Formats: sequence, C-alpha cells, structure tokens
Amino acid sequence: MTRAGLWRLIAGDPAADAAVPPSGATGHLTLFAAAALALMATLALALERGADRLAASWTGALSGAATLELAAGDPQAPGRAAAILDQTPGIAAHRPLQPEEVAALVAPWLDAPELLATLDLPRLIAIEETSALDRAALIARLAGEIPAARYVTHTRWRDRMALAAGRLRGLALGLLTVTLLTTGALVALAARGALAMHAQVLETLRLLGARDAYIARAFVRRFTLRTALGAALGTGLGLAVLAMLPGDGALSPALRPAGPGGWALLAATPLPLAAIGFAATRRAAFRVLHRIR
Amino acid sequence: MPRGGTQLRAHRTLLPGCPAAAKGNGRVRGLGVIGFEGVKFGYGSGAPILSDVSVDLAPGRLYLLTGPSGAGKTTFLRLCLMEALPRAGRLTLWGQAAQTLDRDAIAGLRQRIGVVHQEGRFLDHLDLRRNIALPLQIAGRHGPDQEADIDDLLAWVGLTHRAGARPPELSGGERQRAALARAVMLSPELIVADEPTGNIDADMSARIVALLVELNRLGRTILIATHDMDLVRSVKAETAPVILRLKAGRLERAEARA
Repeated sequence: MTRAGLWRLIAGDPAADAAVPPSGATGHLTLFAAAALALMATLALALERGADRLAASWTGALSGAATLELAAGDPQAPGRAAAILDQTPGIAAHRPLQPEEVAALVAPWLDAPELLATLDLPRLIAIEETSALDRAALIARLAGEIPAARYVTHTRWRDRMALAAGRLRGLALGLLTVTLLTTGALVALAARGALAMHAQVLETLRLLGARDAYIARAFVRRFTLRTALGAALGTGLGLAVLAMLPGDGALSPALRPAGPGGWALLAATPLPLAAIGFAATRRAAFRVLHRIR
Repeated sequence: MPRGGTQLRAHRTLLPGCPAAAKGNGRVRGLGVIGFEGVKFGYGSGAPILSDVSVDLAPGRLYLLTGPSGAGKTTFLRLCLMEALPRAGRLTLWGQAAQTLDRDAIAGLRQRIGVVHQEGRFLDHLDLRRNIALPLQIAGRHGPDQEADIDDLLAWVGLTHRAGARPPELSGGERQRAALARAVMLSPELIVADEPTGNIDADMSARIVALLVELNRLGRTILIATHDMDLVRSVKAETAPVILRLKAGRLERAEARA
C-alpha cells in the first residue's frame, strides 16, 4: 500500500464512509474479538520473550560452573582436591561450600528438617572453569588420587533447562501464531457477514458507478480501525495484567517484560493485528464484490 | 410542482445538454449510445429471454420499450446497464464492447447512465438529500459548490420539503421523483427508466413523463421500459418517441416517428 493509500485509509472519505451502512453486531463482534485476541497475543508474546530470557539466564548462570563432590568420610579429601585444582590450568576459581550451605541445598528435599543432623552430607567445592580446562584430564587425575570424588559439570541440567525453555518459547510462538490467524479469520468472517448483509447496497452503489475500490475502502477502513481499536484495548489490558504481577512472584520472570524495550515491543501488538484486519477485510470485500457485476 | 416549467429551466445549469457535455471530455461523438447486434440472452442454461435482438440507440432520442410482462424488457435494461452480458451477439456502449470491459471500465460507463428503477433502490440509512448526492460522491465530484445543485434538483422534482426524509418514509410518487433526481445528478448522457410510473397515480405519472420528456429536449437519450399504455400515449402526446416492442424475447418492431 502506498503512503497516500495509507493516509486515505486513516483519514477516510466521509462521503464513502457514509454510503456504507452501519455494521451493527458484526462491528461490535470485531471490536470484542480483536480485544480478546490482542490480550492473548500480548501474553503469548510476553511468554515468548520471557522464555527466551529465562533460557539465556539459566544457560548463562550454569555455563562454566562445576561442582566437585567429595565423600563425607574422608577428611583429607578437601585439601587434596584443592591442591589438584590449584595446579590445574583452566580453573578460574574454586571455593569449598560451608556445611550450612550444603545443608541449605538439601533441606528443601526433606520433609523433616531434623533429619539433616542424621545425614552424612558430602563436601562440595564450587568450581569456575575457563575454556582452557582439559576436563577429561582433570577427571582422570581426580579418579586416580581421590577415587570417591565426583566431578559434576551441570551440563545435563543445563541442557534440560535449555530444552524446557525452548519448548516454552515454541509453545508461546505457536499460541501467538494461532492468535494472529484467528484474528484474520474472525475479522474476515465479520466483514463478509457485513458485506453479505448489505448486498443490496453494494449492488446499488455498483449500479451508480462506484468502483470496487471505492466501496471496499469504506468497509476496509471501518473493520481495520475496529480491529486496531479492539487490539489497543486488549493490549492495554494485557500490559496492565503484566504490570500488576508481583515483582517476586513465580510468574514474573517468565512474563514480565525486561526494560522499556520489552514493554514497547508488547505495546506494538495492535499494529500486526490491525495489518491482519486490513488484509483480511480487503480480501473479503473484493471477493464479495466480484460476485456483483 | 409545475410540469417541467420554470423549475426545470432553472436547473439547466446542471443539465448542459448531452452534445455539449460530450464536447470537452474526450468522449466519442457520432456513435450510437447503445448497440445490440444479434444479442441473445438467457439466465444460466435456461431458455433464451432475448433472441437475436438488434437495435442501435441514437443519441438524443427518446425510446419507449414496450411489451407484455415477461417479454424481456427488464432483461433488456439489465444488458444496457451491463448487469448481465449477452450469451451471444455483440453489445456496445458508446462504441465499446461490453464483453471486453473490466470492472472499473463498467463503473466508469455507468456514471454516464442515470437509472430510474421502479422500486427506487435507495440507501435506506441515508436521507433523501444524501441519496440524491450519491452519484456525485461516487464520481468524486461532491463539494460545497454542488449543494446548490442538489437544492435545484430537489426543487425540480418538488421534494425540497422532503430532503431530510429517509427513503422508507417516502410515498411511491416521491420515490419515483427522487430516483429521477438522482438519475440526472451527474448530468448523464443516457437515462434508463424501468416502469417509472408503476404504482403511482395518474397525476404523478403525468409529472414524471413531463420531467422525462423535458430531459430529452435538453439533449438526453431516454430509454423507458413500460407496459403502461397510458404512459406511451402521454409521451406520444408530448414528443415523437421511437417505440421498441418486445414480444417473447424478440424485438418485433423498431418504429421511429420523427
């Protein structure tokens, strides 16, 4: 569409608009459907963005992190392990976790906190790796010198989390796609209904010399603006819901947009919906008009 | 409302006459307005409604298309308006073959034809004034300057006092006159009227006839389809029409009375 065409669509032609009868219930349906679908689209987009952020954050947090697990019964093991780690190139840092830190990690998995005292908790050393580390050589040396030691890289967890976040993102994208397609279908249906309802008016306008573009423009403008208005309302509601999520709530990290850019992206949701409304109405209008000579 | 008379003359600025209107706008002159050449038409695969119809409507003449109900008069008019296309034969409008025209070209040619339908075919959500102005709006010629023209037309058909009424509020005669006002709004070269005096009383019929005859004197080509012999007699009393008689889908006679 040219810039002039876009301007004509926005500004409208009062005479052409008046020639098209009120859309009645179909107009209200478009407004309501666009609002509901925009609300869903906003939340789906927020979920998609949030899942993307979570995946980056989880994989980033665990990337380069490893834990050395030492059996509780060997009091010399932490010292020997620290010495090996000090000598190994590619180990940026290592820090033994205090018993209370280890207990805090285990506590959520126990029904009765008093059980903690009865457990022989392992000693844990948090390790930060660099790309220079030859991990296989380190694991082999640890196996030789401290046979009960276990080197845990978190790769398995990281991969699972990345997979889960990716699936969440795919789900959100699927939801977004379905929402956009449904918007197109509903607006086209409403426009077709309105056009069919006023078939006699269309025939009269054609008989008086109206070109298809003249008639279609009034319908397209009306339904595009209704879609845009409904989408703006739905998006506004969606943004309000996201803004009201408690900052420390469970859903906040996954849904709440990050920074002004994130909010701006969600606020732009009505634009694609209006574009879909425009395309769907235009197609419907010309299809109906071509049945009239 | 006077029969034609002063109100119509006052409206002549709006109706500059067909030949004059044709001069400055690149339209081809000297051709028939509408030409039928061996035209055959039927709906779907049904029996033909029109068979081997050949006639050439010359500019500036008044034609009366007569015949009993079901003879094909309305179909003939639908072909003239390109609402339907011939099954066989050739139909031309101002020298252009109807079968070759795209939708925009059809719309453009329709702006050169004023239509008076028996049932009016108005937009019920618009008042009478807006309905009469509709052809101007469609042609993109509506502006403040045209408001006086609309006033003239309303006065011409004696409906000034009904300008704000919606079409369903109008009587049969008022609707016919309103349809005539709308038909001449764009100063068309051809006016097609389908049973323009149907469902209205004799006095109102005479007024409609007077308006149509006056338009023809102003240079318009007029085609009136009717089975009302009173209308035929009224027109003959005022001017010399060409009578086209349709019977069972055939144009039996094209009688010119100059």
